[in-house]
Amino acid sequence: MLILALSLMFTAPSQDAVTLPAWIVSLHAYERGNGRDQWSWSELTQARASVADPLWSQPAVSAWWKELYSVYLQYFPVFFLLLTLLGLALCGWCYAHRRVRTCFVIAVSWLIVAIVGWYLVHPLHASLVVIKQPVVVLRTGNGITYPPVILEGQSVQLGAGVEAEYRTERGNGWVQLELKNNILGWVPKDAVYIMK
Amino acid sequence: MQSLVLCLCCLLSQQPAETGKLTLSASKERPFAGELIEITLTIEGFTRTGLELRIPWQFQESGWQQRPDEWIASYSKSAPNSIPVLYQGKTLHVPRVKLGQHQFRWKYRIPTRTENDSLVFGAVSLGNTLSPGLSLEVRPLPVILPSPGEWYLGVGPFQVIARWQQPQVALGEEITLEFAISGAGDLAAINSPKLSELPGWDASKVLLEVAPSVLQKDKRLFRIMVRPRQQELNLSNIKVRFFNPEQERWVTQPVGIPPIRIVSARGALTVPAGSSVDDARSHLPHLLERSLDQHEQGRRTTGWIRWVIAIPFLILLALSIQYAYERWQAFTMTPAKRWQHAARAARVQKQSEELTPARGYALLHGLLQSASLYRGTADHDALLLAVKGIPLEKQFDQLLSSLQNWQFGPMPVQPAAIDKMFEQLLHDAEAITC
Repeated sequence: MLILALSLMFTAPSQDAVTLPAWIVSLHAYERGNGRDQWSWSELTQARASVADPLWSQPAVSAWWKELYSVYLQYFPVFFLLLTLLGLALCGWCYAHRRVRTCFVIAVSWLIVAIVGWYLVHPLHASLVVIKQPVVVLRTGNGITYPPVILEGQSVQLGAGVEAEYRTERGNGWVQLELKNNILGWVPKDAVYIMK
Repeated sequence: MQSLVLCLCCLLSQQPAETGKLTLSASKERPFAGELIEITLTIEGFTRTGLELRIPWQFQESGWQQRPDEWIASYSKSAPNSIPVLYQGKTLHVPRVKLGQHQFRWKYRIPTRTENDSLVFGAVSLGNTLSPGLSLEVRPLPVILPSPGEWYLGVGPFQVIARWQQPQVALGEEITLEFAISGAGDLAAINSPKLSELPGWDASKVLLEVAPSVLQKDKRLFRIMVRPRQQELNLSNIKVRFFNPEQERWVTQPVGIPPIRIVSARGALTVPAGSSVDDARSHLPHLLERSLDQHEQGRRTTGWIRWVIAIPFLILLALSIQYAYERWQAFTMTPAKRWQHAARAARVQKQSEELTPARGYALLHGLLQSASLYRGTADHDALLLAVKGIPLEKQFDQLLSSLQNWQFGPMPVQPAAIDKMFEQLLHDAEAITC
């Protein structure tokens, strides 16, 4: 059982163009429900790097802060408990010595650090759209008859797995999304996964 | 009802009498509303040329298929054996249809709504000759029950042809389906088809959108953008319905939709339906779904840690309550009570530890601080006034100098004496009643 669990943790199967968007959405849903952890973060980074879209994929770039963040995610409960113990000790000492004002300042600082630490694991999630079809033409309006969005002389076509911010939708089955660089456009609702 | 009145002034022409004959006729004497007919002016037996033609009809009305300038232009060129006549200052050439007979022609669509069942065209004059007027009996269309599964075209006849603009389409991409409608009916009055309401064209199979139609000279093109949602797309034929005036009945014709080949999108499998998060989860392979389940179970066991963040909240809350309570007490206490309270607290503090010079200073400082929480306010002034009424101020000075002597000399001071002075000070403070 342990071997199976470990194998599941470290060897995620490769995803095709249909599975990849569903996997990205499921990982986002996992993070919304349970908070981010080192596994979901690395899986999401890997999945984003696998998106076959030259313009909108997010290749995995190694950076020191990402490594640090990964370690923090892995040991988050330990960090959080240590912070709690430290805060309790400092506040208790100050209160015992009748330094109420210092105790108050320490408690406020403790709370701020705890909130920031919590936010790193539970970031705010905007409504999200993930493209689920291999090629989806981004259009300027909510209909097939609207012309495609043009970027650098070419129509914007989104690959499966591309993430964008959800804006609104219309009753005729079209969803407005916002890509990076504030590019707005419309895609059919059946061509995307929506996370509100 | 279209009522066209003859201009009587044409009767007052000064030209000599002509022996010819003018006749107005229509291709159908009992046309249906909305039907296209042809009106003919036949000129027979005229020998003179250059006579003035007067037509009392209002060509600006919508039923005329040609604008006045277009009609004039169509007869402005001379033809063999044609008769030249004057119309609105321009020379028109009436073409000959047979020996001694010449004709002008107009195409006219009967209005779909008339005030009564007749339509009258006023008399036309050529020179001094006047034609009789033309009266038509307009028949209403037979009543039918509307059918939601049919595309209603109006009064025809029409020919409808459907075709795809490309032989194949990739799944998820768009293709144009074009309906070309031609015929004698009113092409401009045809509404776009509501294909999504037709059987076999539901939104689960295709995404449809009607593009703006194009009206050409003899046909009208309706373009429908179609986005297949399924690998297999069998679209049912469309039924069009129009009224055929020749047959004098409503006609329903099926329009065949040619088959379209749907190819897989670039490297894609069939994309499953559904756009929600639950749909995405159901589209995952079993192994990935199980992996998610395993991690979710692991996270549930450490979910309690989120409550740790509540501890600093609670501490801050407790401190705030305590601080607010103290402020409230200080606000509501009188100066005398405040002194009594401070003296009792100082006494407890004094008894807890052995008295030293530093301890003595701290006790005095604490006593003053506790007794004057509103330092620098009007309340503080009241406090000082209250203290000045009794010998506390003097006792403070004595106690301070004694503590200095005890700590730095030069005169030796007994701790018991200082303790006694403290007791006296605290006793007097507790005794303040002002």
